[in-house]
Formats: sequence, C-alpha cells, structure tokens
Amino acid sequence: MKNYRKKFAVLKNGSSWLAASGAVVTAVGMIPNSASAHGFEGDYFFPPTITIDDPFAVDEFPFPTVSWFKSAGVSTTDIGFEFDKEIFPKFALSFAGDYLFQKPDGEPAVSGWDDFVTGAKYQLWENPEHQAIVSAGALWKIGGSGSSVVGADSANVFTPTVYYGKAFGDLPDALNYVKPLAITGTMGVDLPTSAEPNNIEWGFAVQYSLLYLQEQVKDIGLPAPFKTMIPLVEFSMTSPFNRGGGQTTGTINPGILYENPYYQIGAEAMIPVNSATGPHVGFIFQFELFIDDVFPKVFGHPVFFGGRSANAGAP
Amino acid sequence: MKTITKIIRTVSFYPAVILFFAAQSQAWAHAFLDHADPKVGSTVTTQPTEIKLWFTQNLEPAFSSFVVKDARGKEVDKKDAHLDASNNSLLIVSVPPLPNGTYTVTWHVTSVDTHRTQGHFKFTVKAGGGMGGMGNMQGMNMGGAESTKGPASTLKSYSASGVVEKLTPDRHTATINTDKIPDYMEAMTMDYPVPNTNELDGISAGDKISFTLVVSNDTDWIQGVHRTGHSNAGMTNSMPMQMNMSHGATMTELNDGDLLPNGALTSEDGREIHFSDFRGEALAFTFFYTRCPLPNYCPLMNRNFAAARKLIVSKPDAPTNWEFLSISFDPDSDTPQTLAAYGGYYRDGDPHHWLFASAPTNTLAVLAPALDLMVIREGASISHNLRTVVLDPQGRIFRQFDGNQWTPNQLANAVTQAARL
Repeated sequence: MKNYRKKFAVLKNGSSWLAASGAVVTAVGMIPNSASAHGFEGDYFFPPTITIDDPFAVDEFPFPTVSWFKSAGVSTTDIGFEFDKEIFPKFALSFAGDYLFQKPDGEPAVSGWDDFVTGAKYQLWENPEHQAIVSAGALWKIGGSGSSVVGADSANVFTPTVYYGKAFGDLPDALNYVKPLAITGTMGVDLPTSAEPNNIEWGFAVQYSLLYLQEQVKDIGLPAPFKTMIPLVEFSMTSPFNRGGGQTTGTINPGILYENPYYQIGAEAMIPVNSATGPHVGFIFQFELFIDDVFPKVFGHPVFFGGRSANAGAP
Repeated sequence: MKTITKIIRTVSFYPAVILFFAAQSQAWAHAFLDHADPKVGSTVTTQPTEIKLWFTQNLEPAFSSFVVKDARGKEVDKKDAHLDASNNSLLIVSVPPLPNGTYTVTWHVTSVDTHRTQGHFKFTVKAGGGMGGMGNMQGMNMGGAESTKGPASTLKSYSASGVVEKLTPDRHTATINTDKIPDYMEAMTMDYPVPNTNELDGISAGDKISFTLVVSNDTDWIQGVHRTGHSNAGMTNSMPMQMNMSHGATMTELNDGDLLPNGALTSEDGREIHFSDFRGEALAFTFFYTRCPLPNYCPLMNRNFAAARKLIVSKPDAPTNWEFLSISFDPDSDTPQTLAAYGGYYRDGDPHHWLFASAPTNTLAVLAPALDLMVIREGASISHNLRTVVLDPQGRIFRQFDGNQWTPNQLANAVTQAARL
C-alpha cells in the first residue's frame, strides 16, 4: 500500500557531506521503498511488485524488504515492513516503516527509523473482462515519527496517488505471447507541510507472467520453479517541480518474482537513471507472506461488510 | 548495534514462523491450474474423451467446475464435471467426439479454504479425418486399443449407409439401422454420436442416408451425412430375436432396492456361475460382446470398468468386498477362451476384482426386461443398448447407469458406497 517515495537519506546533524549541497537533499539516497499489493482482475493475477505499489486494496504483509543503495556520499541499507488491511470492501489502510543503516563516506555509521507512513486506498473502477483496474488513495508520511539522525524530519508529507493496472490477456489469439504482459503504475504529488519541494512521484512496472503463460495461454513445459516466475522491470521516479527541487531522479529495477502458494520472493537490481540519483547499482529483496492464504480465517476479507475479498489472492 | 542485532534476530526467526504456519495449512491457499490434459494451448491429433485439469490445491467440489465450449460458444462437454475420486485437486469432464476446431476451457474453482480463482485456456483438435477405407478390424475388438502407433494410425473412416431410426432432441445422437460395412461390421442398429449437428440439417427419422463412420482408438462418430431417400418400412425392419421380452412371466423393470433375479452365467474359465455367488460383495456388471466394433459402445464399457477398478484400488480406505463382472450377450462367439483373452487385455495383468462371463439366452431373457436391456440379434450382428448395474452385497440394485454417458468416477463411487451397505 505504501507507495514508493523518496527517502531523504540525509544526516542533518553536523554531517559535512550533506552541508556541501542543499540541492543534493532531493537526490541522494533514493531508496525504493517496500511497496506491494496483490490481487486478481478477471483471470489475471497481479503480483505484489516490490518498488511500485499496485492498485489492489487487499490484506498483505511484505516483510522484510531489504535494500542497499549508494547515492552520492552515503550508502544505505534499509529493512522495511508494511501491513495492509482491507477495512471495507475495496478499501484498505496501511502502515509501513523502514529501519535505515547509513554509512556516509568518512563519517561514522548511523541507524534509526525513518518516518513511518500510513495510507488509504480505494479501488475505484474495475473491468475484470479486460483485466483493468484504477484506484485512488493517499499516503501520509508522519513527520517527526522517525529518527533525525537518518534524515527523518518533522515535516508531514501527504501524497494523493492514483494507481492503475492493465493486463493484456484480452488481446486476440494472434498476439498470444503478449497476453501474459501487464503494466501497473502510480502517480502522486507530494504535498509537504514544510518548504520542501513538491514532487511528482511516478512509476510503473512492466511484468511478464510466466504463470499466466503456462496456465492460460500456452503450456510451454516450463519446470518448477520457473513456471511460477514473473520477470519484471520497475521504474521508480521522483520529479520535483518547484522550490529548487532539482532534476528527476529514480531507478530502473529489472528483476524477478517467484510465486508460491503461500509467499512471494522477489529480487531486483536498482539501476540509477542518472548521476543525480547515484553512482552505483543497488539491489532490493523482498519476502511477502500471503497472509490471506496462511491465515484464511483472519485475513483475505474486509473487517466490515465481509465476504472473501474479490481481489485478494495469490497462487 | 543492539537494535541491529535485534532486527537480525527477528528476520532470522521469521522464516521459521512462516514454515510453521505453512505446515499447519498444507491444503490452503488459492488454487491455480498446474497443468491440463489436453495441454494449455496445445493442438491434439487424437480425440480426447475427457478433459482433465490439475490444480495446485485441493478443491471444494460443490464450487468447482469447468465447461468446454466450441468456437461458437456452445458448450460441448457432457456436463459431468467432477473431482477425481482419489485426487481432490483433479477436475475431470467428459466430452463427446470433438470435431476439428478450437475449444475453450473455462474454469471457476474454490479451494478448500474458500479462495476463488478462475481462468480459461484453449486447445485445438486436429484429428486429420478423411483417411477412409483403411484398416481391417477382425475378430475381437478392443475398441481400437491395439492401435497405438501414433496419430496417423488412430483414425479410420468407413463409408456407410443406413436408415435413421431416431434422433435425440439435441440431435447429437443418431440411431441408425446401419447396413453392413464390409471388413468392419455386420448390419446393425447403433447409436452414433454426431459432433456437428449441422450434418443432420434436413434429416429426420425414416430417411435413408449415406455417411462416413470415423473410428479412433477410443471413440467414434459420424460425419458427411447425406440424405439419399426415405424408407417406408418400419424403423427396425427385422427383429428376429429381441431379448427385452420376458418369457411368459410378467417381469417389469426393476428399480433401486429391488432384488435382482438370479441367473446362470458361463465364466471365462468355463464354470457356471450365478449372481448369487457374489452375495456379500458389491457387484458391478455391464453387458458387451467382443466383436462390437464401435469404441463408444462395448469397448468403452470395459475401458470404464478398467478405470473405475483403478480408482477404487487407489483409495487408501477402499473396501475389499466388491467385484466387476463383464457379461457378453454373445455366448456363441464369446467362448470362455475368447473371454479370457479379451478380459486379459483390459485387466492388464491384474485379475483381481474383475471377471468376464457370457449369458445364455435364457438368462438374458430374464435379465433383459428386468434391466430394460435391449438385445436384438440380426443374423451375425447384435444391436443393443447399454446397461450397467451396481448391486449391493445383498443382491439388490443399488445404482443403474444407462448408455455410455457415465464416468469411471461415478461407477467407482457407486461401488464403494454399495460395498459399505
């Protein structure tokens, strides 16, 4: 549920590397956050992507999400968690946090919680036949809830966000091998309560479901575990548009997801799109337990006006 | 660093927690299609008789099903989708002979923890008809089972002619008083599947027709139907020996719970046996004759018996007091030696729980009206319907199956239930 968002991996208390440039604040240490959701639209199973939140408002618990990324002057290891709960049908609330380990060049290592993030999401429109969905929601970075030594600040940031997903299983048979393709994406605007720049947080994930290929298009004889894998590329971007926010930063994350009846494992490389993002390729790993499958009596249905969530699921 | 250590410990402990809960819930989670037969997106060159879907989880039978539709969206399966008796993650539906074309399988299933999933896929039948005039099936007929060399050898076509006796309301089955097909079968009245009902446009009972009889390893159907005239004769022209008439005594058709009259049979080892010999066991019996050439008739009965026997034996808690009995109504031709050879083929080396026998005329005369069994001898040929019966250990009728639409799973379940009475 928690959208990807820029984490300002900054050291504000006497860190000389940061003092060198205020502008670098918007660019450094951009670590894609743990973000996931999962669900079905028609016949298509949309996996919980690692970096880009997908459009489903369902129960989930990705933990841990571990990433490492080195931006200009600081390397950051992030261990994150997230919990999402469907409250009403198609409406979910989320809560997420990240514990950061930062090592600035020439400085002692520091660690602490980043600001926690809570959010809400509602599935606005769905078309199962055409495997399409649009959702809307908002995130709230709770200012002051984290540790200032790792850059968490007191400013609240609200991010209204639109989510979308479209799979292509409805294409004609002549395009059979395109049918397993899907794209999900998000676009939101950061509205900070301080003088920080407004950013457009945008991203998308292009995925090719071998699971869907094997199950619904063409059994090409893939053995386990490959037949339940989903190769994907996620694009996670932040584009400041005022207050000296600087240029767009972000990463392109090629990787793969492995689907199991009870969990998903995903891993991606994080390739910076430009030097303002960082000089090195990072990585991110995520384990997600499908809590609605492991604890079906507790999860997988809304708290109120229950019944099994129409979208919740995992293979 | 204490915090780091604590987090690392927590993360290390997490997989153990997951494994623990996963172990507690082995049958849970969403059911996804693991594989299918025919394979997803495949082209098959032999006629499937069943469509099988294997899922990743056990399913709720009441909420799990699937349909098979042709390219025009018409359902073509036999509407008997069911879970396999010994595998609750395997869904099966029977299909009639499918004309060449592309078919869509659409499934909706619910796993045992109530998660719903759905999906669909296509497969194509390209059986390569029009191979007419080949083959010479002599002697006993195993329903083409001896022909397993490959797609090119699995289909045989015969030019045929006859008079339509009746058509089912859905026009998917035609009863045809068929003229002799040289090198294949004697003249007889048979029900034939008609996959493409357009073939019967303008055809009605009494019409003389020519057609092509297509026979594969395990099924048959007609195509290329042409009206050649109309017969003013009675629908079944001669019934010199019709076995559904009782001999004097009034015998009405029996219902479930009725006691089957005893009767003598000649078993494949030459002994005289009686139905009463099987008291204490559930007994499933069916009728056939070894010369029956059409795979969808007598050979299908024995194929189904073979599959049902396998299903029962595979059940870990299966009863042991049951027996299958295949009864030939052609004792003149089906001698004990012939039956032993024929039965040996279908039993595939395992003689347990399955006996072959023949019924003499006087026994058939008693059984036919009691079981609504129709046996008509016309010279060397035999026209007949299909009846399969399950008796409980007391010799009472527990279940009766008409025709060839029942499945091995249904029979296995009936026998299992009857054995426990």
